[in-house]
Amino acid sequence: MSYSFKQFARQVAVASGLVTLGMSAYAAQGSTASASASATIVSPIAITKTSDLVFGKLAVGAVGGNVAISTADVVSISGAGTTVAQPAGSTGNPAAAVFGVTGEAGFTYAITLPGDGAVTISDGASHTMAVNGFVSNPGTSGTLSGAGTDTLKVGATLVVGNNQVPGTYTGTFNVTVSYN
Amino acid sequence: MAFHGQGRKANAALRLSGFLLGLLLAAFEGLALVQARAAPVAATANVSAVILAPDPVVSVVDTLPAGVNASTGTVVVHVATTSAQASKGPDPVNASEPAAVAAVMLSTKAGDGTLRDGGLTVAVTAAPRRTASHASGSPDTVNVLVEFN
Repeated sequence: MSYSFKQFARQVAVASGLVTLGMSAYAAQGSTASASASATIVSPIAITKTSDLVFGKLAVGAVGGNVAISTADVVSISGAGTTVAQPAGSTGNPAAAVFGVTGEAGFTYAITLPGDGAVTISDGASHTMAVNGFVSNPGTSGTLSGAGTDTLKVGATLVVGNNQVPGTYTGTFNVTVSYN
Repeated sequence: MAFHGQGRKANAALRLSGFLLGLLLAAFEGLALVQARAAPVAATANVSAVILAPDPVVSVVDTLPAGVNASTGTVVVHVATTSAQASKGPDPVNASEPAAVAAVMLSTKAGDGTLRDGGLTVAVTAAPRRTASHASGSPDTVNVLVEFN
């Protein structure tokens, strides 16, 4: 059963209130009382990149298209009349990005991905392509294992323009996680 | 006696105040820790794609040797190998004889070619050889096929 950060915070608040009540009683009666307070500091959540998002090599003709990479590293090309293709013998090893998440065992966490229009990649010469449709596995929320770890995979869709200028396009994107 | 009583009360009040202040500080510290743990964290990954140049385009740069007419066609040559097929030209020996169909070896650049900014020039030569009756002087084409490795 997962244990959320909000549940933990509620329990800390209740414990704190009990301690405060106890101290109020102490002050009012003028007698000695002792109370013990305890708190469990959970491991901070952290995320590190394991590998990058790679669309690989694409041959582009007159008609652009969308090139999607799933979180299972499967490439699919779509678009009406698209001439975009991935040479079978020279794919460039397309792959979804992989992140490692660590934190308190059993806790759930929220995943925030870039929105459409937030990420573009460039060849450094003013030619760009948008990267939209970010997806992840797990989706919007993950659960840390008993060891306090999880693996997060992120795919996306590359928007290739008509007659996209040949070159190597690069960019970056952020993935954010936080305890639920 | 009254002085000592007041002193004890003041002392007790001071200790209580210190205790409460300590408790308050601990609460604030704990709250800060809780907030620190709750703060979202992010990681950055690179994203990349390589757009290849359009499919190789082959054009006849120079004419083939006499006897083989490249005409406007394309020439079949696999750049990765050194072999190619087929050309035909006018009978170089005797126009009155049945024309020759040149089943020739076209020599090309050995090994793989590397496409640079200016493309790759593949030299093609041919030697006609009589193999069958064919209309003398009729041009034929030689095709070149180039593909990515």
